[in-house]
Amino acid sequence: MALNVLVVDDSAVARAMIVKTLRVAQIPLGEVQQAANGQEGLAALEKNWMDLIFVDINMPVMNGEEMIELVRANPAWADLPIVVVSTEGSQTRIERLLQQGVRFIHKPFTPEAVREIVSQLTGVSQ
Amino acid sequence: MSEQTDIVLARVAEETFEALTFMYPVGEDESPAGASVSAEVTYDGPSSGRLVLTVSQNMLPAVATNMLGLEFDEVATPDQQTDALREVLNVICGNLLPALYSQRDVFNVAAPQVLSPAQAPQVDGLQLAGTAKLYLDAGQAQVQLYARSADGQAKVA
Repeated sequence: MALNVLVVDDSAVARAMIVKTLRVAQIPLGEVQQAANGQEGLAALEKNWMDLIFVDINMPVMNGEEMIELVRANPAWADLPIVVVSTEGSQTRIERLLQQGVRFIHKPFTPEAVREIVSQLTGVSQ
Repeated sequence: MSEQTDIVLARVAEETFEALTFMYPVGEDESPAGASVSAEVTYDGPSSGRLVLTVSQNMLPAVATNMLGLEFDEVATPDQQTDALREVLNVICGNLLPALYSQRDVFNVAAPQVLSPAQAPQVDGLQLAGTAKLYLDAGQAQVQLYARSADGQAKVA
């Protein structure tokens, strides 16, 4: 099964690193959509069915925390697997995010960490 | 400015360069660094401040190339190079704050900005709280932390 993936980060380089890491980790990818903030991410979700979302926290326009709240509030997306990929170091904020049922990968990350979490969330591996 | 802050700053910056850009520390090299490029990021929370990263201009293409995993015949565009610099600074800042303050503290980190060559970082009302100079195999980098707290005193250790 190939995964449709949405990557949301205001850094184009960070988005490219995540996509590259997924390919290096040999995760079978279908459609890959990219967005530069939460608002663009929601717009991409409206138009495309995604199996997995990677989202940063600190972004302009709409940050990742706000985007996750809106995704979870929409019945169509409420159970969508979400992975937060961020430099966030505050345990307070991380715990708040985990309560939304997301997984967390700390930047800088390794392909192994990404592969393990994707496998756990989707059952899809190499 | 405390020696402990300098040590933490140097450790976080070195670890970030190693993990993100595959650039490693070498012995001190006092040869002129040449032209440089800087980026800054601000943060707000229990304390607020500004982190400034300056790197040798000639190492910028390698930073982007390594982060993106480009092939030998591929060249990072200027936009990719500056975006890579911003991302390195973003990761340094994100890892630095919990190392200097409480891990329970919540900070809001703004989007990093690349400074134009003639532009100095805005440090009004801030104190230089730490400096780290890195001698990496691809060039030199310097990180400067300017911080302030509600009472005007830098809170960093």
